[in-house]
Amino acid sequence: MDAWRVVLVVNLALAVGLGVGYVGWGRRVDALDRELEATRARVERLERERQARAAGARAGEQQWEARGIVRAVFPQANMLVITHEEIRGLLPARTTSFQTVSPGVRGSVSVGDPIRFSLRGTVVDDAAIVAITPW
Amino acid sequence: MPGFQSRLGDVERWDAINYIRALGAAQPSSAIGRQVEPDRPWLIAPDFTVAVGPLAPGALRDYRGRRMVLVVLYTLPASRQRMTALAKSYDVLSVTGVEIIAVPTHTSPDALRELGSSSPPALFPVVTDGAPDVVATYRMFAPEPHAEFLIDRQGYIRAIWNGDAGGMPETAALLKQVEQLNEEKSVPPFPDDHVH
Repeated sequence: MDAWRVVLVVNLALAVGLGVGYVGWGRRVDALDRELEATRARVERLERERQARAAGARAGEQQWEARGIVRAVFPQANMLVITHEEIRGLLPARTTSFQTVSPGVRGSVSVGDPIRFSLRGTVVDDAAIVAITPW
Repeated sequence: MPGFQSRLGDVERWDAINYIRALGAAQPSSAIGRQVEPDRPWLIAPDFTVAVGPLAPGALRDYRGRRMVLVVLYTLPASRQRMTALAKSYDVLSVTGVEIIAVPTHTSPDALRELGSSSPPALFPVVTDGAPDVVATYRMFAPEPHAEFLIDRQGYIRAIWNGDAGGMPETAALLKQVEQLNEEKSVPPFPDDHVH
């Protein structure tokens, strides 16, 4: 066989091998990325559950830490409306109304106050504020 | 601008260019009225930072491709009634794809408190930092103490209400203009507002 043919066949084989490898490993990397993200979310959830349990929560409850600005206070409904940053594992950055577990938690916060707050619950619908400190 | 090379730094030179550019746009902007002209977007809404308290700031351009924006320059106490009306219609406007961004014409660290004490409370973003720059820019299009700018999803100013806060459109009239934008057939490209 001529030398140029050998070079051509070897190059073609290399190109095909690289292509197949790239496609195969590329898919594998994507799958691993997704798996890593899911595992990270599970670890974060377990950490939030651990925090909540340490603070005396019931089994299955999580605790989220967040920062935001008070936009409205509804004392009779025991509710605060807060424009907050992303609450990882719960909500994107937006304005949300939250209940406080008791009127005492609300303290003397008023509209415009920047605050750090802790939420406890199992899902967004039952998450309530359990602690507030100034930001 | 070679003539200014020794006097102005890079940032100042671009500020001057942007200012001249805005001045150029301000003159023909008087053609934009209280009604949306269908399929005629041409005035690019100048971008600005939306900083609400210590929260991570966003930008007006972040809404492009997602929501229409009603930029409201307000002056208290004259605009109080109008801001309360907007707070009342915020839910409806939000559902129809409109975000309200309020910009106080006065510098006040308590802008959120001032609006939050109304009933219902204003829950839309209120610019608390950098408002004077936004006001200075948008006043070139509408010099009155209270002005409202309807910006479409692509980032163009499509209607301007300028004057007495009492003369602003009712919710139904505003929704009609929003509906007009929603019904537009041709979608213009995002404006190229990068002048470098």
